[in-house]
Amino acid sequence: MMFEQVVVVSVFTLVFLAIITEKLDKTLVALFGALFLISTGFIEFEEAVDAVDFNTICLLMGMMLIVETLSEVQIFRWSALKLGLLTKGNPVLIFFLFGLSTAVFSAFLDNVTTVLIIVPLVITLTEGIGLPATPFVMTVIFLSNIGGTATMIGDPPNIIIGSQVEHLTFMSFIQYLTLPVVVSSLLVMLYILYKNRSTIKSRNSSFSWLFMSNLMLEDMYCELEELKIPRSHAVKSLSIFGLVLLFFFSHNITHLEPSVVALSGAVLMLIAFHKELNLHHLIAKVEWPTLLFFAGLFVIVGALEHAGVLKIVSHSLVSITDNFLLLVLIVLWASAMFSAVVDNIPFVAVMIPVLKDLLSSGAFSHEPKSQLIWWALALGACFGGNGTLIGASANVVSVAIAKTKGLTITFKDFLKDSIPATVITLLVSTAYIVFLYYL
Amino acid sequence: MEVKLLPVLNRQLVSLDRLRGADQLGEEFVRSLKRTYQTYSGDTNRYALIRELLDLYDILLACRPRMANLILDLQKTLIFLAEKENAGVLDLSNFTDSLLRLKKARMDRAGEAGAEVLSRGQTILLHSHSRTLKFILEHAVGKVELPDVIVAEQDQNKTTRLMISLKRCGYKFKVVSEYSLSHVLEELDFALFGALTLDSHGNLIVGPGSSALMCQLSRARVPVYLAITTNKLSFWEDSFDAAFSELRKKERAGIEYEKQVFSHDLIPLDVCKGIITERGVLTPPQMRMVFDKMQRAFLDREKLIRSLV
Repeated sequence: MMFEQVVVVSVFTLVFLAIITEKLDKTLVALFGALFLISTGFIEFEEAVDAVDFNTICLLMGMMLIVETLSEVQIFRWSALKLGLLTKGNPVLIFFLFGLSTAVFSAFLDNVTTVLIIVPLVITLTEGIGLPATPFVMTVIFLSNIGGTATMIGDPPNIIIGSQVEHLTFMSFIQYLTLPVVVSSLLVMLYILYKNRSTIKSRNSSFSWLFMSNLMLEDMYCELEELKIPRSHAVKSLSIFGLVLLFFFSHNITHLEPSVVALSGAVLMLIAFHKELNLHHLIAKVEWPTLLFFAGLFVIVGALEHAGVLKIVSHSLVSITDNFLLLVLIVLWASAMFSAVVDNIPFVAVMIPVLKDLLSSGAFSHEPKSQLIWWALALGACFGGNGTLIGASANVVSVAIAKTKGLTITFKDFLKDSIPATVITLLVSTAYIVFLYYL
Repeated sequence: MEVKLLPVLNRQLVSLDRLRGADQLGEEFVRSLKRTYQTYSGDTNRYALIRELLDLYDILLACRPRMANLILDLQKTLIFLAEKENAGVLDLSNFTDSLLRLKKARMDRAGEAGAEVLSRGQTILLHSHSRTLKFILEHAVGKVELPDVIVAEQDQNKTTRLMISLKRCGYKFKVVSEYSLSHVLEELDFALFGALTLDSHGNLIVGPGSSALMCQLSRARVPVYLAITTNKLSFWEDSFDAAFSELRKKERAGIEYEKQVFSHDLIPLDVCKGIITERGVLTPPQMRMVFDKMQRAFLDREKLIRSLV
């Protein structure tokens, strides 16, 4: 048993290190680790298949297809242009409208898609009117991670938690996480606004700059006019998307797994657009490497569970403290710190069986507020992604987009705002969890 | 002059000119001015507005390349303000409306002149894709017998835009690479080009590749017509870079090299048989006369607005 545990932990550690150092593609590493463990018998093939959470994978796949179809139909471009026009070139409106929209989009779309839509437009708008784009881009990055925390589908850690923890539903994520997300969003925005108060202000008293922003707006009007989305495309795609959301919300009534809802929605989208869009092209756009990464990771975590490693970890956690609230807060802050520097998905994937074991046995098996531990994990894993430039994919993608537009945000530049922003969100989460515990 | 605004505005104008074309940029420019008058919260008395517009005028003059049609519209606006006592924001808004109407009327007249030229040929060559050219093609539909078109294939985006316009209007066309036109020269009755501007040295600033084509056509005695409205003429006497260039570092087959890329081509006006404008189809000498007259008026207006502050 000891030898098995050492080997499995070593494989997991090597995979984790490979992911952190980015020496090899993470999908390749995860798949290699999984297949090594299967082929050497540390986990049986059937056990490996059982370990793969198809709920998570199918939910991800379904949402990817839906998002890709919406993107092909230009719904996102249209929305972004409309948003830009609503700001009327006013820096304060740009700041708030794009920040809040990012949070809302992120709650229902994946964060990377959200920043791919919003960041280029924000940079074009702000630089087009001579504003420094950095505070706006940083706000969008932070709000994409914060907003994605609000729903079960907004961020991969939530998708995994929601799929693997039975009593957590789509509505329960919204019920419990909306408040800390809203408060954190507002406080982070106010912090950045205060820090940049000399630049983020109205320019209506400067004729030339006002003209500059109106020229930008005029061009956006023209682009919007040229972007002729057929009414039928908009109706079809938004109706199906709306239906998917409705079924997510009504999980308590329909008892349909979110993965089933997402995949059904995706298939409906493909049927609805089978004449207008290339089916194979859409399917090819699914991030198969990401899905394979998840599969490999689940197998490795399954092997850790099978070898009894996770039981040892959960017993160790219990020995730290017998105070449940303190344990929850440790999970919150530890998740955040981990997420800030490493990929939060493997961390969450490992923590779920550890915490399940912790809650089902020993001192906390009858804890009435046991659900708090899942919210702590979700809040910590998602908010922690704001901690550093490498803390979340959305951060890396946004900075890369900014670089293509001539805007450089270094690791240090990022930290100047990310540390205060992350601390703000974690303090809000701490206060919220304490409040819920004593409620 | 605000130093910081200049590079931002320059970049924006170059980008819009590339994306939309000079004519559409001109309309967007005027509409943006109108929106600015309406939302400006600073001092809106006549002298304050003159100062602000003069600042913007100087910034536009400093942009490279200079956008002649934008500068001309701003110049006219300043003259309007100078001549109208007690002019305010509402008057300026109404004046921008009149500028927009003038643009439309100018384009309509150019369209009529161009349609008449199109009726002179059965097979014509098209290379550039300017908005004036597009308007002429559209204007001719239903008014004259449409010629067959040979599209000289160049930059993929530009060729595609031209093809879309032709298809929409119902022209019969085929595409021939711009490098192989020697094989189809005998089929052509004439060629039609667009241009960015005409400068005070008598040079037409045209799209990349147009210059070589026009020379080839001229040598083969294929008449060359050019479509340009007079609001796009560049009256400055100093030499300025209508065509800007950049040096790009490239690599091919392991060899690193520098490539000098120019935004436009230059060609003397005399290569053209006729220039289609809103004043009708002019010969090169007639065009020069119009240019000289308009240049004198432009320079007079320039002196007047410099005397305003």
